[in-house]
Formats: sequence, structure tokens, C-alpha cells
Amino acid sequence: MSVRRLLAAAAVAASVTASVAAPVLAHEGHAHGGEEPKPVVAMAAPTLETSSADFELVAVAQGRILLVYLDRFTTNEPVNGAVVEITADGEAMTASPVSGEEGVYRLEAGWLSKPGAHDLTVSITAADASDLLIGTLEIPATAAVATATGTRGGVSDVLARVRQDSGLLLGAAMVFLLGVLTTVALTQRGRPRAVAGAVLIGLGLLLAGGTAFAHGDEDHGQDDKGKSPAAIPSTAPTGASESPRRLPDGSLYVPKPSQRLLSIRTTVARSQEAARTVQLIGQIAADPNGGGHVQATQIGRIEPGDKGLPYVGQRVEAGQILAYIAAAVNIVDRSGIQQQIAIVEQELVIAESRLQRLRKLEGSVPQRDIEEAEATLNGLRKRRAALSPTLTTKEALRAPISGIVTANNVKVGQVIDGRDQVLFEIVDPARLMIEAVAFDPRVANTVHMASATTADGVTLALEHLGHSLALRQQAIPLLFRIIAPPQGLAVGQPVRIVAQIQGMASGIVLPRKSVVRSGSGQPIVWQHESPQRFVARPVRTQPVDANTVLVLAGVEPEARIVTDGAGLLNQVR
Amino acid sequence: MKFSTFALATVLFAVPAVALADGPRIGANGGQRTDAGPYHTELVLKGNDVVLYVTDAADKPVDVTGAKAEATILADRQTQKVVLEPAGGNALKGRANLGGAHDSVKVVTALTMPGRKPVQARFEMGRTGH
Repeated sequence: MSVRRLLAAAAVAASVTASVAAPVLAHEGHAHGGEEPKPVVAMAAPTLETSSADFELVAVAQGRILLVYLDRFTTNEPVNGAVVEITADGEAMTASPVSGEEGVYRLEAGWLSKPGAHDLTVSITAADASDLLIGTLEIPATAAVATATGTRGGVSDVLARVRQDSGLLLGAAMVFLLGVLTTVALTQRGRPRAVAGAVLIGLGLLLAGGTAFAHGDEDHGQDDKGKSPAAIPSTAPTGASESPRRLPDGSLYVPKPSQRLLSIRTTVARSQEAARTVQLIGQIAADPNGGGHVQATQIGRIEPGDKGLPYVGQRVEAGQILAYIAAAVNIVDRSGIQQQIAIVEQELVIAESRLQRLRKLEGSVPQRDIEEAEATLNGLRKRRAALSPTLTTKEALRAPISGIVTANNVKVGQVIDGRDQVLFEIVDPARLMIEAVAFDPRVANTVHMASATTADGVTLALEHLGHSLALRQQAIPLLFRIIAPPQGLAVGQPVRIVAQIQGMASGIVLPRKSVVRSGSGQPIVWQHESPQRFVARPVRTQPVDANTVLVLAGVEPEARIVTDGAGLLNQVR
Repeated sequence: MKFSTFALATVLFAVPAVALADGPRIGANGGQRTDAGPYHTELVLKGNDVVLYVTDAADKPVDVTGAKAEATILADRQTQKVVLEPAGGNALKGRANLGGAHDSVKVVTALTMPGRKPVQARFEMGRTGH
């Protein structure tokens, strides 16, 4: 019973100590409220992060070389061509730009190999802004040794070190002794006092062992000293040795080289008013004045036009002959017509000879008879002319408008037997519309501005033309005209429409690409909280138009939100 | 949960928030105030005079006799260094060439109190709340 009480007391003490100690350890010097403790990121190299309203600076020390990554504070764009002067330990030096890298500056200085805290003053003179930044760079005392030994940490290594070091051997023996004592104490049942005594002795022994472990950094074995200069990792001039990773609190640690690689860009959140919007689903339709059908007026056989039959996708001009139809005349009709032609031709011969005869007797026969014969002959010739082409004349099918042929339903020689059969469809790509449906009559009445996106991300500016007064399948059809339609749109293509309706909402306007989905499917944005740290912020959004969203909740004004590369950040695990 | 326990918990949670709350960013002498190591420092630019006031974390003046300070001033895209000498009480004074324009002047001070390590502070004049 008392053991349990002891344990409980120990747990309470530990939790109290931890909660008091954590903030104390988090800040050196003094701290104020309003700063939430940030997770400590173990970085491979000594790093200095600092920023002002214009610039964001990350300096990474690698041996005697200091690499300075300089970016714009608001946009995270690398700053090129700046003069970066670094003053440390009373020594001012100018960092030279690294060729082939954007916004990276390099400095080689002797003080970088001196362990301890170095106060840095960085003077930046860029084309449009200049600034002074300060920061402290901590060079660990055993930077070189740590990197040399840190790479080896296996059991065999530990055993080897124990064997070489008498202090370690002593410690190991004490730990073993503690184990034996604890076992003895635990087997003596119902004797808490004995247990407590054993624990005390054990702790004492452990402490003694600890002092044995914690001897200074004198001789750690000869091989370490021999190897350490060679074991310092020879990193690339950009120092891309670290990779982005997710921290225990869910935020991301993204080193500057990775940010450059992913070309992360940010924007500063500003509170704004935007019109309320609704989302509609629609599809692209042809303008009734910008789309045409070609149909035959009679039964017949298709014959190609002068340039052959038009193919789908071909551009045709208004009035261009697309095809001919040779009228189909059945045998009974044909023989009837031929019979009629024969009769007319026979009468024609008689009328001609009669007229010639009468002309020879001109003066002796009445003029009226001659004129009558001429009229008869003319009438017969016209009948002959009207009858003969019915067997040979073709009907020309012309394009009713200029545009692109979108459907061709005929082949050469095909017989057209119905007048309602559509032979060709032509659409004018410059005159396309979008037909949408709204289920709320109020939406249909208040829509004034709209934009649409296709499945492949093309944005279309729309002009509202009107809406139907008759419901179609319980919904109101709305019609929009596409202003300056881009190439590659197809009739029937589905689009997502964001239509502005009356009323305003206030929030933060961000590009649509800023909003990504978290692992749980929640919409989030990434906030650039400190130079190399990004925090996910769950948000509630409403579309403004096809490319921007209005964040109604979840983002504070003045926060820096990732615009470009948010999707890539989201994939960091 | 007992009411007393609840009340105790409330008080315990409220204490750090009150205790840690920071004061105004404008110091007692009307200049911008910022943290410098364990101290609060306040910078006042008056004409070409640069005055640095040093207070402790509780905003009580700290005697600066024997202290050294240097100010790096960025004004009109020009950087200049000014040595600040103790000028009685908690003030260190120096003269710079500012041309009277105090907007968008950036100042970095390095303060060395007697027997201590230098501490840096950064001021951005004409811009509050940074």
C-alpha cells in the first residue's frame, strides 16, 4: 500500500517538476506571455534564424563557412544581388553570393570555429530595401567531435568503449550490482522499508556511476582523435544535408534549401470583404446563333463537294459547299419523267417545223398564227428545260455559319432518306455559352457576376444572360455567355461555376491553391510561422471566384500563408 | 468536482497569464522599448542624439555606470556606428548623423553591462508593434 502511495507521490512530483521546468528551459533570459513555446528542432548544424518586416534570414554554420539564406519576409522569394555584411565579435565581413544559387551568400570566418554564443549584426542592402538584423549563433563546443562520434552509436560501439574505458567499466559493474540489489529487495515480500532502502542504495550507486560516466571530454580513445578531421561530413556548398520533416506537434520543419527547391511562396493575409457566392454545376453549350446544323431537304445520295466531305475539326466558312445530294428518283418516276420528256420533245419537233413553215409564208398567213406558234415553241422549250435536270441536277449543302465542324454523320455515297437527319454540325468556338441549373429561385434572381473552371483548371469569365421562367426537372436553367472563350473548350464539357450573389462576407482572400486537405480531409492552409517552420491551420472557406477563396475562420490577419507549394508541403511526412 | 478545487484550478491557470503579460512597447521616455537579454532597453532619437535607456525586466531603471554600448544605425541606406557613453542614471548617450529623418531608421544596439556579456537589441523607428 505504502509503495503505491510512494509511487503516486513520485509521479505527482515528476509532473510538477516537468511542468515548471519546461518553460524555464525553453527560454533563456526572460520571456513574456503571448509566445507559445515552440518545439525545439534538433538541427545538424548551428543555425541562426531572424527576420524583420522586409527580410527573413537563415544562417547555417558549416565548419568555418557560414551560409546565409536571404528571402523576402512577405513572399519568401529569394533576394538576389544584395550586399550582406555580417559583424560578429567586432569583425565586419561581407558575404559573397554563391553562384548558381538564388539568394544564398557565403562567408568564411575564423570566429565560426570558436565555440560559444556569437552575437551577429547583419546589414543587408538590397535594390529596394535595406535593413539591420540581429541574432545569436551558438557554436557548440564539441561540434566537430559530435559529428564525428554521432554517426556511430551501435551496441558494438558502446561495448568497445566500455572495454577501453575503466570509468565506464566501473559504471557498468555498478548498474549490474543495482540490478542484483533490486531483485533481492523485490523478493523480500511485504517489507517496504527494505525496498526503500534498496532503492536508495541503488540510486546512490547509480549517481556514483553517473559521475564516472560524465568525465570531461579528455581521452575518448585514440581512434576518435585520429578520425575526427576526416569524419566531418563534407556537405555541399548549399548544405542540403537536412530533409524536411514533420515535428511531433504536427508542424513542419522545412530547411531553406528545401523551401527553395519546392519554391515555396507566401502571401500576407489581409482581411477583406467579398461578395457572397454560390456554386453551380453547368456545361458548355453552343450559342444558338453560333452553332449550325446542315440537313438535306430531299432524299438522295451524298456526293462530296469540291474539296471533299468536311471532316470533324475542320474550319468552314459560311456559304461553303460541304457536299451535294444527287436526288434519288425511283424507276416509276424516272420512266414517267422520261415519257414526259419524250412527249415534249415530240411536240417540240412538230412546233418547230410548224413555225418554220409559217415563217416562210409570212405576209400570206395572219401574223397572229406565227406568234402563237412561237409562244407554243417557247413554252415547250421551257417544259423541256424544266424536265431534263430532274434526273441529273444535285442539291448543294452549304455551311450556314462559319465555325468548326463538330459532327459529320455522312460518308460518300450514303443515301439520305430522312429530312430530319442532321448531316453536319458546326459550332463557332468564339460564341460559346454555359448552361447551368440552380435549385434556388433566389439564386437565379440575384446572380450578377460569375466565373467558371473546367476540370483541367481553365478559368472562364462569364456574363449572366438570363434564366428560364420554366423549371426543368425542378431546377431553373441559367444561361451565361463565356467572355473571350479560350481554345480547347468542348460543347457538353462540365464546368464548376462560382456565381456572386447579393450580400457581402468578410474574411481573408487567398488563392485557391493555398487551401489543401489535411490527412483527415479537413481543409487547411500552411502558415509560415518562423523561417524554417510551417504550421497547419484548419480553415472554413467559401469560394470567391474560380481562383480565390475567402477564409472565414482559422487564419489571423497578418499571418503569412503559403500560396505556391502548399500541396508539396502537405506531402511532407 | 468540488467548487473549491475548481476555484483553485482557475486561479492557478490564470496566474501565469497575468504574470507573463507584457507591458506596452513604448517605454517611459516615449521611445520604442524592446528586450535585450535580461534587460529592457528603450531607444529615443531626438535630433541627432541617440539615447538608450536600460531597465530591468520589471521596468525599474538600472544604473549604467561602467557600461558600454554601441549603436549601429541604418538611415538613408547608410550604416553608421555610434558609441554610446553612460550619461547618468540609466541612460547612455551618443551622437549620430541622422539628418533629422527618424522614419524607417533601423538601429541595433550592443549593450555590455559591467561584468556581463554583450546583449543585442533591434529597433525599427517609425514602425510600432514590431
